[in-house]
Order: sequence, then structure tokens, then C-alpha cells
Amino acid sequence: MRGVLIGIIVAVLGLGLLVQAQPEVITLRAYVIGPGPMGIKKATNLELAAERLNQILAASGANVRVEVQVEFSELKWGPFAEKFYLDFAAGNAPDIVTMRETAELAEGGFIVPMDEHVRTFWDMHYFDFYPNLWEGATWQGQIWGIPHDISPTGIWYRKDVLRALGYTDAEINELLPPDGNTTLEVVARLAQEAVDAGLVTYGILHRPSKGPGFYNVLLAFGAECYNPETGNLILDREALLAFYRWHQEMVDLNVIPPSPPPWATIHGTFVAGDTFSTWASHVGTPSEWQAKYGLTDEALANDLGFLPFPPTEAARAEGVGPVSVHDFPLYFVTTQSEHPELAKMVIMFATTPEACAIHSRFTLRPPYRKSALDLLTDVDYIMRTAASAQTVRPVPIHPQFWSYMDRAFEALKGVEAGIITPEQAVDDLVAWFQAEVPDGEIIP
Amino acid sequence: MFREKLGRLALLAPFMGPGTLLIAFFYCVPVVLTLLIAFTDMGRTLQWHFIGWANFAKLFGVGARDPIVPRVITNTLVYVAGALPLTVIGGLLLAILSMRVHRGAGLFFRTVFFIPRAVPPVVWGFLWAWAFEGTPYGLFNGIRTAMGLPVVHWLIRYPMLIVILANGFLGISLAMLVFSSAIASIPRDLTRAAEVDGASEWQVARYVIVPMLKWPILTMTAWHLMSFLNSYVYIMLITGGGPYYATEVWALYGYHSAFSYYRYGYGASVMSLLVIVNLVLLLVVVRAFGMRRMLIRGKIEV
Repeated sequence: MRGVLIGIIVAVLGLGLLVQAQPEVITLRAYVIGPGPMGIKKATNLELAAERLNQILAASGANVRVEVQVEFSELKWGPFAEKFYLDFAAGNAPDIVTMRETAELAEGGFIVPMDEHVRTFWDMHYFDFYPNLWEGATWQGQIWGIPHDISPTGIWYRKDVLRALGYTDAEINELLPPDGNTTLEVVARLAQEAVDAGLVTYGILHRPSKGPGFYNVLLAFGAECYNPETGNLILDREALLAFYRWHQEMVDLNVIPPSPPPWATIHGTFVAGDTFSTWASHVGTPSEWQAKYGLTDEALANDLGFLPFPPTEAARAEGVGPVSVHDFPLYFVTTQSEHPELAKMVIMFATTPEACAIHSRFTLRPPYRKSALDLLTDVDYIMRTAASAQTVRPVPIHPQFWSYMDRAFEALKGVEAGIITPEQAVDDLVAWFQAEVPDGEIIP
Repeated sequence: MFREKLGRLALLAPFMGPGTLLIAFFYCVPVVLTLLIAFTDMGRTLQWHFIGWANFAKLFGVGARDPIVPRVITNTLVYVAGALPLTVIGGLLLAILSMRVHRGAGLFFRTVFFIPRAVPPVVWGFLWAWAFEGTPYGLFNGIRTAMGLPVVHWLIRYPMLIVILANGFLGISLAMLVFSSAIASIPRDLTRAAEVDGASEWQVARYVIVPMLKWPILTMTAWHLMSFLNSYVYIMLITGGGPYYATEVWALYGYHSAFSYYRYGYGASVMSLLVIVNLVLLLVVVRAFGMRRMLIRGKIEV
């Protein structure tokens, strides 16, 4: 009897010690979108963050560990968001999600604000994120997510085509300077020369769908679409008319095809030298060209040029300068997370200079924080293009912004195809705007 | 009397019951849900508010109007008016020709024209999109380029014609199959008697075969009328409804509103109207074609 009693006491003590030795594991779930395979490091950085966080927890003797289960998706933005909202409605939302719809998410109560977290860890962690990036994470005065990826849009062009036209490198640099201090008319003129000389099939190819690059071209025409002071969308009739007329003229001159070809054709023909300029890409696109279309390091260094979108002559006269934009995907913490503070810590460790450099090295996109540059000195391309991160401008954060761009882009396709005139395009857009954006501002 | 009726119903239940349940579950319930969603502003976030008739008011241009709607209605009418005769007349011609020519050759042509029906919709759609792609990489432009001819932007210049042909050819295969079966059911004595009397092939077709195919022709017309009114998959795959809504038909507009623009409420209102139009057409067809007679008599008049 005595032996049994001693046995029970030993067993209970042993179990207690065992329980003490086994730290509690908190599992966080994250949905991360590429889109496509290039964004994979945004997912693996969360796993890396959990490792780093666990090292600190272990060293500090805390009896808790974090496990992050990341679901990486190569879906496009729309279906990815659809999946998130369905899971949220089912009460099965992840703790962390990467999306772009900040206003929609914040307005609908899907995500928690991050102000307090950013403020608390500013001196330790967030101090060297480029200041302009926070604008893309802020809605109605609050920070809702953490930037972790930037891809400034702009114009890619072929220097070798210009050389074949007889331009020297010095002349090319003067006509199309990397800081974008030129005009859209210059780009168009060179594209036309290349087409007329039979050097390329396409002078300029823009995106086949709406996107940051499309919005960027609107800005180059001075067509501001958002009033940051009132928070309302803007429709600038005159600027939009100029935008549509210009594209119509480019189609008439065979500089732009009457219907944008699919992505594979845009990328493929540009890398092959059959397109003079693509407006469908961003600073980091060469990583995709190298992975999928056989772009060599040599060709990237010698034959391709990049610049932010320069304004048109008319817009320049009104003070519009070169601009690159970016539609910020952010790491968000959802309101269904049972451990929001822990999720924020994981995000913090997923955006360290080390994690930022891993992502940049893989994607050739500029780092979003200054100190990451020290870890990337061996990547010549990133060192050359890193400055674009400091001037990139976020797309407006407004729940209806992309619906607006959808309609504006459809109208562009209609004008280019010759289905409608630029005037009809603007009239249709105004009708839609009046019906769907009651608080929108129309500049006659 | 009542017990007699009850008995008849009990007898019918095992036969009609499963089908009725399936229709109730997979048609009636979604229709009711769609009608309910049509009165909300539900979007991608699945959050919603009741907004009364606002979606329908926008469709009918009361107050804030949707500028695309008139274009979509015109497109739908043109599309149905183009694809329907192509399908029914084309199917009939093919059936008559293939049944009246050499047996082996007829079988061969029927098989060839049935291929679209056997091909997955995505493959069929992309085949047409690729064939008419407006770059040198498309089938027809590839041929033109090889011949030194300039590229033609087919899908911009003839978008409606192309989607009518793509859908029409698909419809022809089914119509041809039904008409061929019906022609095969016509007693040989009748056509032979006409031939003995000196009737030409045209006269046999015109005065013997076609009159006997009245019911199959009416059935195929009604079937394809509804089918084209509700179809959007191939148009979406080939032109996406463009360029600039040039091929955006009503069903596709409903789809785009809901799943491209993520305005589920508005998309539901578009589709609700389509359901109503379908029900009205169904009643018209049932009355005009004499559905009762079709059900109690043989499909071939002998």
C-alpha cells in the first residue's frame, strides 16, 4: 500500500515536471498571397519570424512557443480576397493575412489597428521603414498594416532598340533619364520611331487589366483620382479626355495595339526585343523575366532601361512630376485572431532587415527599410534601383477606388478598340461615377 | 374521389419525387436566395444592408442609371437573334444532308460536327480565342503573317459575329443529333413513295421530312432560345464580354457584376430579371407550342 502511494506521488510529480518542461505552443495561421510564385518569401519570412521569436522566448525562459502555419497562395488578388472573406464569414479567418484592401478591411471590421504596436516598437524596429510607405498603410488616421513588399511601377524600354535607331548611350540617358525627368511624348516619339523602322512589332504595351501601372499613367496626365483632404474620389473630365485621346492617337499611329495582348505576350515580346516599351511592369519584374522568359543578367544591365512615369508636356506645365506608384499589400492582423499581440510580434520579426533582404534578393524588388540595403550590397541591380522605394507613391486607399479604375480601364479598351470615342468614354465614366460614387468630386 | 387522387399521387411519388426534390433544392432555393440578395447591397465582404428596390431602379434607369444596361440588352437581342437561327437551321440542314447522303459519309460528318459537344467548354472557348487572337501568334493571323498579310484584330472588328459562330456551332451539334434521330424515325415508305413519284431531294426534304420534324424543330427552338438567353461561358472565355461591352450579354453582365466587380446584390438583381424573363418565355413556349399535345402525342407525325 505504501509502495503504491509513493508510486502515485512520484508519477504526479513527474507529470508536473513534464508539463513544466513542455512549453505551451500557440499556433497562428496566416494567409499569404504571391500573387504568383515570386512572393513566396513573404510567407517563409513569417515562418522565419516564428523561429526568431521562439529563440527569444526560449532564452528568456518563457514557457510559451509560437508556431505559424502559413498558407501561401498563387491566386490572383480577387479570388484570394474572396476566400478570406468567406473564411471570415465562417469564423475561420487566419490570424495574419496579406491583402491590399485596407479601407474595405478596416471599414468592415476585419482587421485590428496597428498604431499602438508601431508606436511601441518604433525606435527598436520600425524607425527605418521609408516614411512614404506608411502613407500606404494608413486609413482615416490609423495604421492598419505593416508594409513588407514594394514594387514601384514605371516604364521599361529597350536601349538596344534605340541604339539600332542610331542613338548613343549618352543621348538615350538624356532622352530617358532614370529619374524620369522627361515627358511621355518623348517616350511615344521613340516608340513610334522604333515601330516605323520595323525594329519592333509593338511600340508600347500597357497592362491588359487595371492595376497600379494603369493608375500611374492617369497620374502622368494629371488625372488625379483621389482627394486626400476630403477622402473622396475625383473624376477630372479634362485630364481623362486628354488621356483617352492620347491613347486613341497612339493606336492610330500603330504605337499601341488596339487591344492589349495577354501578359505572356507582353513579357515575352519585351524580353525578346519585339516590344520597345512595356508599361505593365515594375522595378522587380526582371526577376520574373529571368525566371520565366530567359532574360540574362547581361541583357538586364545593358539593354533594358527603367524610369518612373514621366508626365505629359501639358501635365508637366501644371507642375506634375515623374511618379511611380504602388498598391501596398500589408501584413494585417484579423479581428478573429485570439492572439493579436503575438501575431503583431510575428509580423515584426517577419520584417526585420534580414527578412526584408531575403525578400528583396529573391524578387529584385527594392527593400522597404533602409538598413536592409547593407545586406544587399552584392546585388548590383538592387543597389541601382533601391532609391525608387523612397519616392514611390501609394495608390489611394478608398473602398471604391478599384471599381473606379475598373470602369476607367474598360473605357480605355473601348477607345483603343474604336468602339467608343474618348468623349463617350468620359461620358460613360461620369454616368457611372454619379451613380456609384455619390460623394465623388467631378472636376468639369 | 379524394382517396383516388391520393392514391394516384402515391403512385407517382416514387417517379416524380426525386426529380421534384432535386429541382426544389438546386433551382428553387437558389432562385429564392438570389431574389433576396437582389434587395441588398451585398459585396465581396459578404456584409449587407437591405436597400429595397435600389438595384432594380438602377437597372431600369430610375434615378441613378447604369449606362451599360441599354448596350447589354441590345447585345443580348442581337446575340440570340443571330445564334438561334444558325443553330436550328444549321442543325436541320446538316441532319438532312448527312442522313440523305452516303451512310458512311453522313456518319463521318455527324461525328465531326459533334466534336464541339465532346470538347470541354474551356478548351472550346480558348480554341476560338486563340484562333482569332489579334497578334501574329493567333491561328488565322499566323497564317496571314506567313502569307505577308497584315494582322487583323478579329476580336475587335467582329466580336459579336465570332461569339455567335462559336456558340452556334456548339448548338448545331445538339440540334443535328436530335434532328438526325427524328429523321431516322420517319418510315422509309414515305420517302420512298415520294421518290417513286419523282420528287427531287429538295422536294423530299421540303414536303416530306421537314413537316414531320415539326415537334423536334419546335423543341430545339425553345431549348436553344432559353439556352442562348442564359449562356455566357463561351463569351466570357472568348471575348470576356468586350471590347467595351460589345459582347456583354445579360447573363454575362450578371456574372461580371457579381464575380468581377464583387457586387453580389446588384448581380443578383440582374440575374433575378433573367429568371423572370425565362419563366415568362417558358409559359409562352408551353402555350404557343402546345406542350400538352407534345406530351401525349408521338414526336414524329406519322
